[in-house]
Amino acid sequence: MKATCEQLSGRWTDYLEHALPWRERLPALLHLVRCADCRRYVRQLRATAATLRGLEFEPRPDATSLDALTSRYREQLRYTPPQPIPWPARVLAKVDLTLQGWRSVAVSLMLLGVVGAELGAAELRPGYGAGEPYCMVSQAVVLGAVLATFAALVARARVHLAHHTWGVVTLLGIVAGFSLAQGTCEESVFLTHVLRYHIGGSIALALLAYLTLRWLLAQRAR
Amino acid sequence: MAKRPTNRGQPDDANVVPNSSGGTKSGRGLPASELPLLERLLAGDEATFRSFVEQHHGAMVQVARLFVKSLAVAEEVAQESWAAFVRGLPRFERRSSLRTWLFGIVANRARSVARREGFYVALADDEPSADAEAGNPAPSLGRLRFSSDGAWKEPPASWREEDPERIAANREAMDRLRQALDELPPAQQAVIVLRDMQGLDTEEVCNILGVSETNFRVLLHRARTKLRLALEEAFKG
Repeated sequence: MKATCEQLSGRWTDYLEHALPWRERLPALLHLVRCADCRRYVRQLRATAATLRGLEFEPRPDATSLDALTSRYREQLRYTPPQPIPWPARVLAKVDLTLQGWRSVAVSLMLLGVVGAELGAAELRPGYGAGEPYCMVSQAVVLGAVLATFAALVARARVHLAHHTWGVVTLLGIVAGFSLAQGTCEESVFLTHVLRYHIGGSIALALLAYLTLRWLLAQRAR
Repeated sequence: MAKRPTNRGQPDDANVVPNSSGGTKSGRGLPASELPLLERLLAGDEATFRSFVEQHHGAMVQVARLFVKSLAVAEEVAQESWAAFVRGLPRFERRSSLRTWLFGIVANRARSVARREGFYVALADDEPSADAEAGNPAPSLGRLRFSSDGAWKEPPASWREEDPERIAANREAMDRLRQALDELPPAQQAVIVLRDMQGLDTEEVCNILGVSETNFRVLLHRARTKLRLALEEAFKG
């Protein structure tokens, strides 16, 4: 059954709010293709909502109470000095990426790390050892990936970490990154076999690092 | 030593996002765009604080107005909420956006003031028409604009201006829009203030106002339909 203009007129707000279930969304879209009047109506609804954005509502605060409030604010801030915002969050906030953006950066770096580790592993047949170029690259990339993931998580959670927690977690990240890279470089390490021949191992380790950090941050935020 | 401030044991509702018991879904944290503002506020930048108050005070009163019986009481609630905001600011935990927190404070206070004065009327979840439109169940657009087969009888007039920025620059249109806004029932006004004017997302608005999503969209739809009509008056032909 085709929906009429009248029936749909009650649904366009849901449509604009992306709240229309797909079963209704598709017919609504098809209707829009056909019906110029409804197209215009939806356009105008959208323009109305957009015009409201940033519009200020009366009343404005009166001068005396605003002054009183400001002096209260002054007093309050004097006795409780602002907490320093940890540098990763501060630095990362300057790079104005959305949460989605940060997630993509972190995930791409992790993938890059895994590929780097694999590359190292593939090239490091007997005869290669720590200190070879591939090894250095994969070490650096993996380490970078772990730290970047952590930094992205900090930026995401916007939590204050106490200095020692921050130190411990960074150290863990470095150790994890290093042993991951080490595993790709040296025969003697237990992880070598797993890492050299199984890309799944690398991914599992990266994931483990990611989950550990997430868990730590969740503990912290609680 | 971790020195995480906690609000436990304090009568302050400063760090409470209402109706989010677990705080998992609505606790998306402070958006990056608000971080510079928060830093300036925490650094004691008075100019920033004053303009922040000026910018949001009207919306605060409007949200309070939804719960309390008079504009004067709403104004009082808004003032108290600003004081609570100032008190809580250094301990703000960044689990929501600054504005969600702010409007959460005002809605909570208004609710408790209303309850104390015996005026409290919860927005009925399953009864969207409870927002003072009870006598007017017809859709806001009106049946008159459609013919019996459901097609437009009186289609929406084409507007001289459909660009939001140019609309905003048109004094007559904006006067009409403001007037229409003033005439909306309080619940619709609050929804428009939070969703369209402040740009909070659906879940945040529902949490703050304590309404279901369905009810929220009904209110939003009615309000936007009326506001569109106001602009139509200004721009048709």
